[in-house]
This record gives sequence, structure tokens and C-alpha cells, in this order.
Amino acid sequence: MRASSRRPDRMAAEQILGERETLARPTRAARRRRAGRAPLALLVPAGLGLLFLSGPFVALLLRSPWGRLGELITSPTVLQALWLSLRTATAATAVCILLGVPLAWMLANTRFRGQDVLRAVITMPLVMPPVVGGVALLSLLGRRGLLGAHLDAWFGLTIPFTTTAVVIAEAFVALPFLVLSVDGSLRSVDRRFEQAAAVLGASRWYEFRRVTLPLVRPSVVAGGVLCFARALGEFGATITFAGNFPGITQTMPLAIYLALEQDPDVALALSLVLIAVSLAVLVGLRSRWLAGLTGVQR
Amino acid sequence: MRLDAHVVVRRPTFTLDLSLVVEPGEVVALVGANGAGKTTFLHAVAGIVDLTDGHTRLGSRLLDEIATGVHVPTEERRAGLVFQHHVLFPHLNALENVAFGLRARGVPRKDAHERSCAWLDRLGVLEHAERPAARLSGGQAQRVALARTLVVEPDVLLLDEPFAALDETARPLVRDLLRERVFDNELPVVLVTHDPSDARALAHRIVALSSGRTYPDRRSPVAGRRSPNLTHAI
Amino acid sequence: MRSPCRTATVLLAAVAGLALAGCSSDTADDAATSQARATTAAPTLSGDLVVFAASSLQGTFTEIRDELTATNPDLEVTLNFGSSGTLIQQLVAGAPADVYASANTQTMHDAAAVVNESQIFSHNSLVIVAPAGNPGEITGLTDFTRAALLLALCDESAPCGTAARTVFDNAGLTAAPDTYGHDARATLALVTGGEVDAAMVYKTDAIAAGDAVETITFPDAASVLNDYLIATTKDTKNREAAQAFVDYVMSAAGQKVLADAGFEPAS
Repeated sequence: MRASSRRPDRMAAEQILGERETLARPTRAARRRRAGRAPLALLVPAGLGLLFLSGPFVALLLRSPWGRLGELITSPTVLQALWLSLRTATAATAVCILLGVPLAWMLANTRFRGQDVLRAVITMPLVMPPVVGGVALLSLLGRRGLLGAHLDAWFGLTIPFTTTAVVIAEAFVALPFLVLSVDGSLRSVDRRFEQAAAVLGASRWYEFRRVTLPLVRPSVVAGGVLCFARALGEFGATITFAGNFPGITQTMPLAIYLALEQDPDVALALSLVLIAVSLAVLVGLRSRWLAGLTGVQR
Repeated sequence: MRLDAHVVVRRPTFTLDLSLVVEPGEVVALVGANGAGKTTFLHAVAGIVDLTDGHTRLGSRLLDEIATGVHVPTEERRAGLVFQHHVLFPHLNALENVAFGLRARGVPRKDAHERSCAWLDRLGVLEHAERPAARLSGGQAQRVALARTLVVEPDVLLLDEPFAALDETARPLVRDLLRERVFDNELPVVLVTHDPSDARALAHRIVALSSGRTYPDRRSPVAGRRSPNLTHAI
Repeated sequence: MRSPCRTATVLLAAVAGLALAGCSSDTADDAATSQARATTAAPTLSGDLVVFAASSLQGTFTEIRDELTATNPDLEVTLNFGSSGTLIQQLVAGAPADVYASANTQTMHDAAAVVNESQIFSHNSLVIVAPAGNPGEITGLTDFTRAALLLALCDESAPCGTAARTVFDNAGLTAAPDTYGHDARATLALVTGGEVDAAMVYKTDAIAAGDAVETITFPDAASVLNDYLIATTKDTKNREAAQAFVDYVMSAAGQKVLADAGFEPAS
């Protein structure tokens, strides 16, 4: 049907290489066919991996006290913890964006000795156990801390056991996500845009606000979503640095942990709520999240 | 305003060493093969590339002088550089692109948009004012880039391969526009091109560059005298 | 350069050799000592024993374990400390334990399905602790109502928390803590670290902390006691050793260990 319109050399190429190779991109049907023929050596581990990740959640759903769910979820303790978690995670994300974007800019645009050390320091909260983060925060801002002792002596200001401390702890562990996400994106921005703006007389700040920042917006959003998710689930640093008090510092993860001691059903119900909220956030921003992480602009 | 530039820039494979004086209203074409250093020269005058040696003077303003350590940052030079492949801001539309320089200098939005529209009209692309930059054709984008550069009234116009991204139909259109609507009696112009016919059509003088150094300075057949008045040229 | 494969095999062989050497010498010794023991002491215990115990028993039960295994070298005792609530979860979910010791009556009741009859082996009372130097100038219970101070109590999900609540209820006071530690140890850590001006923890914890804290007693502390209960589990695989452990805890030797740490005697 189409053969007659093809040039002779193309037909020969197809015969030699097989039709699939000479097409620019496989059709969707072709891709599906290929997927169906995936090797067993890959399918089996992939399937195991999927079971490994989804199994516990399925078990959690099946074991949940669906009968009592309504009353459990609307109890004051739960609502208080949920509201606190949402507020602090949002505040922590805002802090991360305000500090993280300039930090990422600095990493991407300046060249100085020890930059690798700086990048390692920024990544540290990602690799160290969150409790260690909490201990570190106490060492700085606790009553006997490097800075905290002075804050207490001069201003009577103590930071632990306040909601601010929760925000600090959550921002501390979540910041690397934003910095690394935006740093990668900034590096891939075409240098010439900055140059063009400068030639037109824009100051570096104006150029950043009006050109660079809009261009990396997807990665800022993606980083922000990751930040929020991480902040929402933060436990170790929070309980160590901010303490535990209903309505002030008892976030959802803390409430779940304590509920496990007293009433496992409450713990299950709280876990469901937290999972539902996290899923909603991730799914709601999914397409922007993917685009931002891969640096592709949609 | 007069451009007086002695640009020395050390590159990995050669050293660019070019002295160029362009009188107000004069159009000088810088020709040569790719990689000869033409773009480097323009970028050095605009301040994007640092000089290894030499000086750059625009009118009475000293922009660069290695000997005394003077270096005026790009933002303050008022050197109108139009990049190869226009480099329009993709997240803005044509009008916002053109107004960018004015807004960056604090010109109020209404005023900036009026002046931008005037230039878009002058270059024949007013109808595309609202179109996102990414959806402009090559010829339209090049004209928008020109308008963007000219609306801020630069002291020198540096055109980097303005015809490279254009198709056959857009090329003569842009040539005519440059000649009739852009070039005037006061603006010194350096036009970089690898196509000698564009050079002959537009320039008073042609300077050939090869591996950073000039061939002997040749007069373009267009300019008998060094008068910038081009209305009867070609 | 040596092949990595060869190095690994050499290492493995060396380790195996050492292990075998160790085993053989042990059995030689065991044969000798058990022969000796057989002629002098009562029949000794052997096998594995797993003991789940509340965190506040860490110091005392470790000592008790050491004393027991000194006279019963064939006995392998594993101690698992945790908060009473978490231990219950694990037990009910089928964790293999032979003995369970809880820090209050409620948690032992919660474990009723998996344990045999329990008995009280000790009591713990509460005290107020402040960091060394007592910067907040704490003198008694009423200081816990001062909003200007930073105060900590155990969370009510832990036995020391419910006990603290009873203390304040009895005194007719409303405490104003700034944080609830998730167990007694965590609450104590806040004091030793200087993060709070005062907390209420077990007397035994205060004694264990030594000079790091100052202890302030309050009247009626003796009227609010946590009962510590111990029981063998229904599923124990080593009934003999499990019972022996419980008996030891109840014996004079075991009670002495507990009393030295600050626990109140069983009776």
C-alpha cells in the first residue's frame, strides 16, 4: 500500500534492518507488544519489588478498623495533630523555598574553592538519621546550645518545645530536596538568557526574577512537593528537637507513634489519614512533579 | 557615537586581536569563517567576554581598559547586541520581550508597551505582539529581537549573523528593514556575517577575520566615501 | 595483584578454622565444668531464654541476668527492653518471649492472653528531677504549674505518665508541661541535657542518673506507686528456665538488686 511511494533505497534498508528499526519512533501498539515480551529475568524481580512496596499498604488497608474509622478520625487529638502537621509542613516548605532557591543559585552560579564540601554539607540531612538531625539542632538551639544558650540568656527565648521548632526540624530535613532539585535545573538554563537580559540593561536580580526563576519554576514546584511530603512525614528530628505536646508539637507521625502504645486501632486510623493526605498531594501535582524532576518543560 | 575598540581575547586555539573604529552611522561588516572570532569580538564589546588586553570606548565613555583596570558591567554599557538565534525569552510573548529592557530600567508598563508596539510596527511584526516567543517563525523572531534591542536606544548596534536563522523569503525582507528602518546617521553598526553578499549589500566597510586576525581592511564597493547615508546605496 | 576471589576464600577458611577451634575448646571446657558442677550444685539451667522487660528495668535486669548466667553458664539469656506498650504489641503478635515484666498492672492485663499468672515483684515511685544546679529553683509539685518554666512529663501512653497524672490529680493541681516524653528514659534525657527545668520520672531513673540531676521528693510520693509484674509466657519453649528467672527475681538476691537501684520491695 505504501510501498510504491517509498524510495528504492529506503525499501532495501527496511528489508535489511527490519521495519521497526527504520521507523523514527515505535507506535504505541508496537511499544505494548514489546512490553508484553519483557524478559522473565526482569519481570520477576520487578514484580517482587512491586509486591514489596505495595504489600504492606494493602495489609494496612485490610487491617484497618473501618467500622470505627469515622469516630477515630474525627476525634480532637487526631484533628489537632492533622491540622498541626499541615500547617507546619506548609511553613517548612515555604522556608525551604525562600532559603533553598537562593542557595541553589549560589551553588549553580558561583565558583569557589570548597564548593564540593558545600554540596556535601547540603546533602547531609538526606543521609543522616533524622534523630541525629534533632540532636544537632539541640546542640545549636537547645537551652545549652551554641546559639540557644545566648538566646535564652539575652532574650529569654527558648526554641525547643514550640511550633517554630517543629517547622525548623521539618525544614532542616527537607531543604536538601529543594536545593538539589533546583540546582540541577539551574545548571541547565541556557547561559545566553542571562546574557541577553544583561545586554538589555537588566540587573542580575531583575534577570533572576523575570527570566531565570520563571524558567526553573517546574523544578521549584517539584522540589517543593518533595519538601512538603518529607516534612509531613518527619518524626525523628521533630520528637528530639521540638518535643511532644498536643496541638503545639505533636504532629501526625508523633501521634501515630504514641498511639501504637495505647490503642493500635487509633494508630492504624491515623496512618490511613496520613497516607491519604500524602497521596493527594503527590497525585495532585503529579504531572508537574515528573516534568520538574526530569527537567523537561511541558 | 563612535565605537573605538581594540579587542584582544585569548582563546584556546588562537588569540583574537582586532582593532576597529566605527563612526556614527557607519556600518562595518565583520566577515569570516565560523570560529574566526567574530562573535567573540561582539561579545567582548558587549562586555559578556572579558578582554585579555586592549580597550573599548563608546563615544566619550570608557567601557574597558586593561591597562587601568576599567571594566563597565554589561548592564551599563548600552551596547545593543542581537544574538545569533535571537535568544528571545521563551516564557514571554513578543511584546513582553520587546518591553523587557525598558521595564528593567523602571519604565512604567503602559509607556514601555507603547514604545514597544511602535517598534514592532516599524519592523512589521505588530500583529504577532501577543504571540508567545516560542511560536514565532524565524523571520518574525529575528525582527522581534531587533525591536527588543532597539527600543532601549543603544549607543552601538552589534548584529550577530542576523540572517543565519532566516529562510530565503525572510532574508531580503530583513535586509530592507535594516537598511530603511534601523540604520541611521548616529548609530554605529557592526554586522557579523559569513555571507559576503549580505556584507556587500549593507555595509560601508568590510573587515575580514581569520583565526582572530584581520585581512587587510577593504572598502566595500557600496561606500565610495565614508558617508553613512545609505538611501542611495546599492 | 592477588585475585579478589582467592583472597575471599582464604579469609573464609581462616574464619571457619577459628570458629571450629573456638567450638572445640568450649565443649572441652564445658565437659570439665559441668562434670565439676554436677558433683557440687543443683541441676543447672540450659538453653535460650528471652525476657521482655520495661525500659525502667534495664539496669536491674541486666544485673540479674549476669548473676543467673554466672551460676548457669549453659543458659543464654536475651533481654529485650522497650516501652510496656510496644512490648505488648510484639507479644500479642507472636514474638518469641519466655518471660514478660511490665511497669504497671494495666499492661500486664493487656497481655493476659499470652502470659500465665503474674505476680508483683516490685514497685516504683515517682520523683521530681531537675538538672544539676537546679537552675529553675524547683522545690515541689506546685512548680509544675509555673508557666515560665520549661517542664516535662511522661506521655500518658507510658506507665510513668499515668502515674504522674494521678499524683497531680491527688494534689489537686493542673500541671503545665511543655512536652511529654514518649517514655521515662526520654523524659529523663531532657533533664540531663538541660533542655527543661524539671520533670517527673521514676525514682530509679533519678538514682541511675547520679550527679547529672538533682532529685526533689514530694509528699505522698509513696502513695502513688507503679506495680511491676512478672510472668512466664504461655508459649515458652523453656519452661524450666523461665520459671527459674521469675523465681530469682522474687528471691532475696533478686530483690536486693532491685532495692539497690531504688525500687520498693515487693511486699
